[in-house]
Amino acid sequence: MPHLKTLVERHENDPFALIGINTGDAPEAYHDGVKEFGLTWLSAYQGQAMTPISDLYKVRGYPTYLVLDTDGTIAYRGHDGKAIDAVVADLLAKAKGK
Amino acid sequence: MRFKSILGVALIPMVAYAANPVVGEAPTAAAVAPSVDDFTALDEEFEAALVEYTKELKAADKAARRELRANSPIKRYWPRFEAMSKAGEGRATLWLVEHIKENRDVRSKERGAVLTPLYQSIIDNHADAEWFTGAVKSLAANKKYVGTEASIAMLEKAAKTAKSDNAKAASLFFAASIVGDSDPERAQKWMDEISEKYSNTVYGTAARASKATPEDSEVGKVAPTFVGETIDGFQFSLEDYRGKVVALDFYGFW
Repeated sequence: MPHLKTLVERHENDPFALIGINTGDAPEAYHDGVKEFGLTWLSAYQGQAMTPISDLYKVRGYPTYLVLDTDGTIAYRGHDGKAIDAVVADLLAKAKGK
Repeated sequence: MRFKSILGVALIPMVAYAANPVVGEAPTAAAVAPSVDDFTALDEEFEAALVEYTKELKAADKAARRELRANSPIKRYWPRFEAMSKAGEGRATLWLVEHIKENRDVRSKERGAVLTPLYQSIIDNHADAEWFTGAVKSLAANKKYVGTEASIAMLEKAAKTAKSDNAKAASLFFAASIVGDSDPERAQKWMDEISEKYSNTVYGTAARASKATPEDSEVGKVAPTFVGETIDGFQFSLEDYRGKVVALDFYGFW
């Protein structure tokens, strides 16, 4: 989480968005978590009964990260939070070059 | 006719507020027709009474507990929400259906008879309310009291009367979830209708998820679009972020 915060801050002025998809937290635990980790970015809340987005992406383990290019193409899918830094930076550099 | 209806609105709230009589000038129809604010105030009053009641119950001995239970907040407030519901405030009707299991005065076998007209009234009169989705969800949860086929019939009607795509999709989605495994073909028909007509809703996302394969979201593919909802009810679509580099983080705090 602190690592994601740094990523968001680093690309504050770039065409970049981090979207969280929360799964499995009760509302109270969710609110506590947002406060504790200082989440500032958009986060979908799926709760415990219905997890449509996780189901759509067949997410089996948490956390799972995906990085999407500007046209929506999936450039990375995996569980390594640090690995997404370089993927995001590359895609942003490529987008600027266009 | 007009006179009668004015009387109707004027009288019911007087019954409703019998516990807190309004002293002063006679209420006018405009002043007494319940509003969302009246509902919110009553709901807050009920919640505060519940906190107080729970505290008192903990401290009480056996005899005192019996007395407290005989005069519990749900017993005291039920008629007030009921009166507000009858006067046309749909949120009060939703409150009744959501709290019926806590009301011991309505026995389990009577719940269906009480719930059915309440849901009918919501579907007929409040299909454009922003809380309508919550009502159809609650209907699906109360299906064993209302009856499976009766619930499905009401949800199908709700799908027609609802104003927003989200509420229409929710009605079909919960109809499908009720039918579920007992009649998968019938359920699938509704799910297909949701993916086709209401893909721009959270239920559209859920309907497409039921047919998704792992290959649809592997590296190199275009990320399947979805509609997400924040804990505050704000809805957004992945489509809104085309043109940006996006990182999706599937996580939990647990």
